Amino acid sequence: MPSNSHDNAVQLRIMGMTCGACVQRVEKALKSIDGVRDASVNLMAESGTVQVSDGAPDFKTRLLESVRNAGYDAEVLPAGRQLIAEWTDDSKLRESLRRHRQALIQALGLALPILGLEYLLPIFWPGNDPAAQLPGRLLQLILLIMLMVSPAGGPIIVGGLRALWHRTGNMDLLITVGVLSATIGGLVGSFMTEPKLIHFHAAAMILAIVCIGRYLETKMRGKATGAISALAKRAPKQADVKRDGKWQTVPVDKIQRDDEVQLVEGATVPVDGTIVDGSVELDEQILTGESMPVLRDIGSNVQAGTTVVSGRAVIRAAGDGSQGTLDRMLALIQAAQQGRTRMQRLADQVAGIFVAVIVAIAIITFISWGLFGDANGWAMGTRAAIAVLVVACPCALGLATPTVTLAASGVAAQRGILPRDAAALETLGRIKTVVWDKTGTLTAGTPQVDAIHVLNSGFDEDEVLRLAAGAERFSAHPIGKAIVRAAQQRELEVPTPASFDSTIGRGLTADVDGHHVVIGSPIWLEENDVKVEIGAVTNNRDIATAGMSSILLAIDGAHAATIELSDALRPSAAAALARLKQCHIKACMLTGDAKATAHAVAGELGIATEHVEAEATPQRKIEYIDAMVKRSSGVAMVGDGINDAAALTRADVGIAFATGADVAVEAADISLIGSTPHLVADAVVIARATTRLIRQNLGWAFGYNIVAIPLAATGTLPPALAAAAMMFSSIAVVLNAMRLPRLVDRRLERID
Amino acid sequence: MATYQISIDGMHCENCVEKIQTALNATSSVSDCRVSLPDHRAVVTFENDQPDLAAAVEAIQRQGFSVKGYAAVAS
Repeated sequence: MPSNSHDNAVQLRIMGMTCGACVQRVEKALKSIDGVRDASVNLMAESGTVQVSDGAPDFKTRLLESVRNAGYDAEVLPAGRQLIAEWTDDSKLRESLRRHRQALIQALGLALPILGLEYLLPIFWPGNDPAAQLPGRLLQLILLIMLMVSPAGGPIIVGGLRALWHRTGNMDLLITVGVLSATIGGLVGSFMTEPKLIHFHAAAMILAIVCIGRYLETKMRGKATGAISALAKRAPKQADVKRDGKWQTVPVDKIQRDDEVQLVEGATVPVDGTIVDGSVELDEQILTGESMPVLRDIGSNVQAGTTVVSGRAVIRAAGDGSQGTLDRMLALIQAAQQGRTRMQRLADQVAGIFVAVIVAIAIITFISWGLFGDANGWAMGTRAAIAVLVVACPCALGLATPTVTLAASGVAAQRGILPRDAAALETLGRIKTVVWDKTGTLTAGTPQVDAIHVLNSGFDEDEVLRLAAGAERFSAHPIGKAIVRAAQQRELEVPTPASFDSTIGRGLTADVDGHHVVIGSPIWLEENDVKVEIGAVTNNRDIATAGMSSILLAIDGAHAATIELSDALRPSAAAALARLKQCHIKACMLTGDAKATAHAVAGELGIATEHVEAEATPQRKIEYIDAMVKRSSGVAMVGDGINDAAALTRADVGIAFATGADVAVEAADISLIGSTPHLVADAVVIARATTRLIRQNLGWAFGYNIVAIPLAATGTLPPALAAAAMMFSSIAVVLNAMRLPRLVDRRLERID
Repeated sequence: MATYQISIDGMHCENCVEKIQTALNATSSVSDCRVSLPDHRAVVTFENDQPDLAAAVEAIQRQGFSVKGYAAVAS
């Protein structure tokens, strides 16, 4: 590994900071650690970057500890590329599969002869004389010991003993105690000539069955992470970069900010950047969910992970190779998998005491049989106790939620839905009301020219628009851009102004094709000695609050036109709301629009007027959400994450539309990548399906143990069968989790 | 020969000046340019009388700065 500065940076999430002094304290705490070259902490982003010169193994733990000692909480964020490497590198998975397969073969190779001997013994040594069978029993024992120390049984036994040593309970411990009890029982039985105590074959079968189970589980878990590794695989490993005037192929993590990177047909964009030459058609589905390729030419931004459908271009990298959109997405997905849901916490609590409880039940079973059973009581007790130990399955409990969460994050990410953590998805599954902040969600959030009212000044509509577009040609303002776009849509040639001068927030003046053009508010026009035709000023007073606004245009000192702009509804808005309605979710709308406009829009969308809050200021939006959360449970708010960040955090679930460049919206519990409100309905469906499967899994895991343990304790279930049942119960949980993609697809179809 | 004064928003330091200077010099129609940090502007001389203002403005915008206006400077 080359050791440039980037490789040795550790990213931390730091929680609990409120002001600049906190930042100081945390930075000081971090810098006081040996091996830290530099540390910088960001209050707003709640993050810290630590430059490391030497990395002791426990280094990260010490970093976290120092932050906690300073009175804050911290966790390590994974570095983007490392994460991708981890996910795309299936050699790890293949290696683990290979190991499990080998263990499986060895286990069967040793266990089958032991089982075979069990049935052959009475044939070779007829008459059931235990003393005569001793050589055969010894052979069984030798094979069993080989199995216990082989790569098949070894890890299980070692794991069990280690758990015993640390006084923690796990699956291995139960198996180990079961197997060892069976072995000791068999040993005693062989010499005491008490055949009913001998369970060598059961011990062997338990180990073999556990090996089979682990192999199948590994295989299926590989499949469950498939969706995410597919995403991670989109991250290219190499790119053509201009170095010293020549194109060179370099690894992606060597790309630096401002490097020129070549994009060719079929390639995946390696870093976020801006096109400086050429043009390409990009498949941005991975980030936007939009399957139609999009044309991007000079000046357009491109995001890592998108694919070049056709064309060729050179981009200038907007950051290092490891800071792209895709990396942030992957980091977010990982974070989503780490969080624990409420249900998982319950399961974990149960699993924590589970093993101790099972051991206790096993002991009680053994003693009860011995004391209250018949002549064979102790022998039967041993058998039943072993069965109890191996039938109990903490695994199913432990796997119930994470397997579903893992599958859910993959399914959601594929559609551009990125929950901040697993709990966010769980909460979303319970919501009953969605409050939309109209701008940027139901509408595109970018103004468009609605109408041009031409005054009697000798210029027709196209000419007015052409001159206005010329004046605004280099404008970065959304309204200016809307005017230029409108001109382009009418296929008007946009002239280059001979000169122009803009004043931020007010307007501009320009000389276009020999005409003096003034564009702006009525005040701006008057300041520029233009007499404003009062009747032509329509709803200009609404500029600040309304979605609709208008702007005035003067040509050669005379008020020539009023251009009306609006933030149009997204074409899919009504359909998206209808789909949510089918999920029995109530829709409310918040907007800064005037009441009449807001009600008209709501009517178009099928939102009842009593659920519309018009003329809402950011403060009012917060109050509205607070009141609603107090009144009813399960309130989600959807916003663009910019103007409504505070309100988003007040809702039970805050959902934000993120643009490609801004993947994780800080205030949101769930970020949506893509520009259709349909994603909200999709997210709800995924969340509900996820919650359902988690419930099923937990129900199964609890139910299984509740049924199986009594069966084992009463001796109905022999030890080998108990092991098989245990294996099946944990595989069932994984299999059930794998149903999620199909369940989601089916439910999505139902509401289409 | 035509000389224009372009007012630029967003310059903070010499590094910014350098970036704009380099970008403008790389623009084919530009024969000479002077970028001033305190005045927030660049004085650009074009090779011929039909100046390619779009190329110059886009070169600046591509560097992440915004152009607030421009006007011809009487020579």
